[in-house]
Amino acid sequence: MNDEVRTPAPPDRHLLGRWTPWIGVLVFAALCGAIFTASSATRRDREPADLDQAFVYDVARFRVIPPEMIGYRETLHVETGLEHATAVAVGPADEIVAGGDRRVVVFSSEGTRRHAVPLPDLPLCLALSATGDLFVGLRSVVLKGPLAGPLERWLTIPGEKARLTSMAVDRESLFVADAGARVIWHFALDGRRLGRIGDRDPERNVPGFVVPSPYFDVLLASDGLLRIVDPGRHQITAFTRDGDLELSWGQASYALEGFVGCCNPSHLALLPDGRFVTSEKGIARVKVYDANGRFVTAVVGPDGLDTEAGPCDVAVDSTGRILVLDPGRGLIRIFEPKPRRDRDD
Amino acid sequence: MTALTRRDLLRGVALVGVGSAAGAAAVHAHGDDTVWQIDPELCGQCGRCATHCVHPESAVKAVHVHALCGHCDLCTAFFEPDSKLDTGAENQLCPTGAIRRRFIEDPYFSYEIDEQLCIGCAKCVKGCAMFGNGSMFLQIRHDRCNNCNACSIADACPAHAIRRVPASTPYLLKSAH
Repeated sequence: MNDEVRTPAPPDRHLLGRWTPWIGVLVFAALCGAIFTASSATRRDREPADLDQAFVYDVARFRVIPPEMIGYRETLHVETGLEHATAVAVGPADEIVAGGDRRVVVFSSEGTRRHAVPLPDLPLCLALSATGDLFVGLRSVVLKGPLAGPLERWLTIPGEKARLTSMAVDRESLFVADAGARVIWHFALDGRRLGRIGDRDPERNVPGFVVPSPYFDVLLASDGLLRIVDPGRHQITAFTRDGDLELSWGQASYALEGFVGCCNPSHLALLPDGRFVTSEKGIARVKVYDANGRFVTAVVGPDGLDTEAGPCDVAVDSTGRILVLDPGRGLIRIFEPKPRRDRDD
Repeated sequence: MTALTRRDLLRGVALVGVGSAAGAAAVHAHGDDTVWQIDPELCGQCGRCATHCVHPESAVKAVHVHALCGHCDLCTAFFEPDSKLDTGAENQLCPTGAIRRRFIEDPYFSYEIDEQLCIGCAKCVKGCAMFGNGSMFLQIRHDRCNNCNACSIADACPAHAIRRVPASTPYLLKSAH
């Protein structure tokens, strides 16, 4: 018989002691981490840049358009379903055509979606002929086909720097704005190249277009002249089909009557009565000018547009509605003149 | 409650020491292989690069990629908004006069940053990004940066635009494409 008296085993001093330093280190590290995290999480809000006002770029005062200067109101908007909407155009029966992603989406004039036409790449500009042919400009290629699709590769613009930004078409010709070459290419509708407009030529008094960024718009007016934006000079120019410069208007100004920033307007459209619609980037403003270039009214200002995704293309339908592409929201927003009783002028 | 033996204490201290040394070695190796840089696509031009660097004069400077520049006459990175188009100091956007404008040919101008004068406030960057091509942007200049373990500007950056990049490619430059 074993008379040995067993005593209860003492706590494992060795085990506890072995882990004590580690536990201390872990607790200390956790505390430090918590303090650092809390500190850095609030620091971004707590410590703004302590810069004098002279170091702050502030154009807020130019973003305000007095309500009495806005002569239009939004009456409809169309959700394009495009993540990266780039262009808007109007068809011969006032169809609304939006380009973006890798497709063109066609809506009725009231915004009912009809169909989409797939594309091989991101469309940068659109044009529709009176007979319903759709032209889509990619980076350096023009696709052509019926509005219902499919589209075929029709033209390749020469030059490694080609960057198509706008097109205008009538019964005889297609004019293609190329921001890379800073010219307007002139093509017959059978695809023959007829010429290029806007090359610097002092003998013809053509100074050459100044196109600092890829926004360079062209349209055909009812007077038979082309209207081409010269964004670096903040002007709208009128050229003949043969490339003679006839007139220009527009001036740089942060005031509402002028074109703001380094290079504007970015887009141009023509109302049925001969007035022009301009769209500016930077401080987004859509405005109407008369046929002689005098400011008439604002359509929508920077507070009403989301331009984080890019400038706003504009188009006009046969009734004078102004279609503004709001790329940040993927919307086409349709504006009509305010009724007289709502206007302060 | 058990008492802590001297051996346990020494072992703990030794472990902490070894851990610290390993950590320091890791940080050192990390610092050699990577450097801090600003992603210009994320930068929000908040101005904190000028005020949050541990250096009295920030290691962040404006840089200019000429291949991206429109060489505009009315450069919104150079002129105060709505100012006259002459180069009088009152019309220049940069408060320290760090941008040099030079005529190329009508109507084009070139713009260069004088790094000795630039404080990294991003005022010009904001003007360029708002209207132009974004050819001016901020970068951390590595001849000035201490490559701190924890970058105080990165900590203050609300856009989380500052991150570590391989030291072999220490700049994040925009390209014309």
